[in-house]
Amino acid sequence: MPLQPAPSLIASTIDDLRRHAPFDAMDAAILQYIASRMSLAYFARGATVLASGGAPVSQLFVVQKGLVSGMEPSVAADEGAALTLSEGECFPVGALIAQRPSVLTFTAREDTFCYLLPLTDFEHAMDVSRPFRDFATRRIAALLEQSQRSVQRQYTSRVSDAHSLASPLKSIIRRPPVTVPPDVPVRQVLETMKALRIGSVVVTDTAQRPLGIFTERDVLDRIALAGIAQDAPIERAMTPNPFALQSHAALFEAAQAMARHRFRHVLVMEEGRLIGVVSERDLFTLQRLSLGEIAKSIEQAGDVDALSHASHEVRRLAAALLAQGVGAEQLTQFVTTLNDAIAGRALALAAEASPPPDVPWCWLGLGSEGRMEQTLATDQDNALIFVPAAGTDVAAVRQSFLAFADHANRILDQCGFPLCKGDIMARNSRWCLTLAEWQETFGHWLRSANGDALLNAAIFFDFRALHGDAALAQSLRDWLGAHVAAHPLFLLQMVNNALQVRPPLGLLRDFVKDDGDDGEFPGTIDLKKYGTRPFVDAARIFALKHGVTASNTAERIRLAAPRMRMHEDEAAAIVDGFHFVQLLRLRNQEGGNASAPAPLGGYQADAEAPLHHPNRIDPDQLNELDRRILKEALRQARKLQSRLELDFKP
Amino acid sequence: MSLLGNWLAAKNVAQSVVDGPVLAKLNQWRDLPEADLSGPLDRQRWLVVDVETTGLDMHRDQLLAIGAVVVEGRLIQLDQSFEVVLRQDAPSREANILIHRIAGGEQVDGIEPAEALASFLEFAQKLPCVAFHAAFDETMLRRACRGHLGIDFSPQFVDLAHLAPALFPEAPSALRSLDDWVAYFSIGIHARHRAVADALGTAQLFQALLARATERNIASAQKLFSMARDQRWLAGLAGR
Repeated sequence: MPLQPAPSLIASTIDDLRRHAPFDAMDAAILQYIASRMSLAYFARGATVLASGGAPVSQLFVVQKGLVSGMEPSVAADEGAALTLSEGECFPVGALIAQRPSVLTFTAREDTFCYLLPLTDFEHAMDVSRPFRDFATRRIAALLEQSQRSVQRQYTSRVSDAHSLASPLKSIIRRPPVTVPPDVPVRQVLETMKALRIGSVVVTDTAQRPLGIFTERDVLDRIALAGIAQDAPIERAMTPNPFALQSHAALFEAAQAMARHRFRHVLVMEEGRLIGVVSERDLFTLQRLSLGEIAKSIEQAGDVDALSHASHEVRRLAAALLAQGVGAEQLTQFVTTLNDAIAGRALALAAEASPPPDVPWCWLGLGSEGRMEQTLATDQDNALIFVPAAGTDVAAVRQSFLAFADHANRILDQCGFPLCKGDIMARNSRWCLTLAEWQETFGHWLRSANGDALLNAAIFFDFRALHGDAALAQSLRDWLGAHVAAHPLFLLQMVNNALQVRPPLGLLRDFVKDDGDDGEFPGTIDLKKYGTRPFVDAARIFALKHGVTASNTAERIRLAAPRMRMHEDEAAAIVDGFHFVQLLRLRNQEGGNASAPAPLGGYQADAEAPLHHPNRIDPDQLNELDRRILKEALRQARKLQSRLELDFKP
Repeated sequence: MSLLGNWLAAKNVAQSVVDGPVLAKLNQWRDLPEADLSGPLDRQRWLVVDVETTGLDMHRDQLLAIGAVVVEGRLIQLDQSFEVVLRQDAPSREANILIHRIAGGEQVDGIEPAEALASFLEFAQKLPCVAFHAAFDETMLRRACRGHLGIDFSPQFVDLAHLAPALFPEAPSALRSLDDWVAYFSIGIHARHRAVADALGTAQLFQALLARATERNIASAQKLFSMARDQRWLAGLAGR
């Protein structure tokens, strides 16, 4: 006999599910389906909800009320749970998709009710609901996007201009691109540009694949000055291999590429086809504070005051981008691009006052600057390599470099990069060395493998050429890569060091908070120490072990992954986790704790915060979505640490 | 007119119009075998019910709404639930509306009582019933079924108000009401005093009691009934 579902019971279940991601992004029809297929089960405190091993998992669990912990069977109970799940959280998603038994044993930590959804219905939901599929297959990435979207929504509702730099490129394309074949004479192209009043044409092959771009600025350089005849084919005057982005890329990415590479047009592609051209001018009209303009004002800063002003603008723009929901990776890349430009300009100004000797040298960024992961509150970490001419007095050459570096360090200080408290700066004679001396120093650290050596390695091994002769940095990098393998003890000590700090994920509902060393920040956790550092440390070790020369944490993980047989998705989840913690740090530094009670995502400045620490947050102040992502992110850090243990420990 | 129809007419059954579909449902219900309570507790099917009424007088007040949820194999199937609002000739008093929030209009627009009760019987089959302060729900349902359908609805009821303290002697003795007990197990009731939401909350409480009963090796529904009865008798002795 068919049973009549009471509409209000299904409706109340839907309401209950809708309070949590990913259900809040799903259509009413599929939620109706899911709710009507679910049953509700009770688990007394201490009862096993789902045991590891055994048969493949046959249903999805969603915590309705209570708390569940998942533990690896081999782990002692007091070691802490691999993960804890509270209301609205789903498990064991990975096992369901793979149709395998659960790896973890799930136990009720409190009296707990779970919704159960049979496997076939879970699969159906995956088939018909994009948000659900995204959630299940790329959990952290999907949650992150959702968090960012809500930040973006809040932003766009605040400003009248609906175009934030986080909008896709496609949204500002106003007309189809004007294209010409490569054999059309230059004269005809110029006439077309004049007639249509356009600043650029794209040269394409017969399949509309772009071969090059020609812009009005090229007329002088590439035609008049290059002496190219008006009847020559345009392919001789075009700029080949123009920079292109996919149509869903953010405006911000185009702006950043323009600022970095100094070009003024970006091609927009969709499914391999050219659909438009975005110019610097198109972006300028959207944004009063433009990347290009700031880059220009840095480049043209005639004195320290002007440079300091430009540096201030960088911070303002970073704050604006953050508010627009630009992701941590792009944001830190952008901050790095402009900070590199500031450093370059600071060095040029320093060179005017105190010229460096006329021998090859290279200014190195270290630590977070070396990794291209600078946040908004960052002090200086730099060093210098030089190669004295044969037969000269090294000490005298060094003296001149130290004077130059001292100027540069002080200028940077005035531009908002405070002097390093540990004196890790190029003006310190210990860190202003010849290439041979650097090799000796690094070699000494590798051999001794003591506490100081490890501490230094964590800063110096992330070096990157910022200005000057990059080949010097490269040869130091090559030297390090070739020598580290001969010092297994050093790597092992690094691993031990890296495993000392465990990301906090305790048995409690949320996080074990560390309260600060002296308890001066009650109820908070240090996102640098417990959040980003585990990722950074592990990535450095994997890079050293597998011969990856990149200094950026995300790059190191992505490049090392295939060499350590780590699946691409797994590496991507780790990188996403890292970037999320980084994003929380940025938001926190930008103005206050990340929290907004009602809508998801978002953050608000909290004027009443008693003590504001740039890297500390109170997880209770985060909204539910961000708190879940943070938990998931820290779980990724744990995973990376387990991998370290597995690969290095006997 | 069927035999049953004749019988109903002879009994001068209430104002309700008992038409064909209702009669069919009643016939079907009457033909169902009685519930078997001797099977394993873990596979027993139960009906958890909650009623809303125009007041607390079991003998004079009217049945307003019925909510019911099925518990089977210790699980609540969310698509197996029932809710109906019975049509009233006049809406209940305002103070009462504030409790159950079934607005006057909804009461007047409800389902014809005979039809509503027949649908309830169709859903309830002859399952053993579960309620909190069961005597109230039992009496209201029996009165309504007799009055509107001329049917004797008298399934076995297990009263959680007695079963809960029997299975959880460690719980504070101050726990008396459904609200107290659902709070003890941190059960959230979506909309208290909507019949089906209360039935769901009661069913969740029942799940917790079933888990404990299994732990205590109480193997059949029959044993659970006798446990609740004993506790009731004990409570009576203690003047509780």
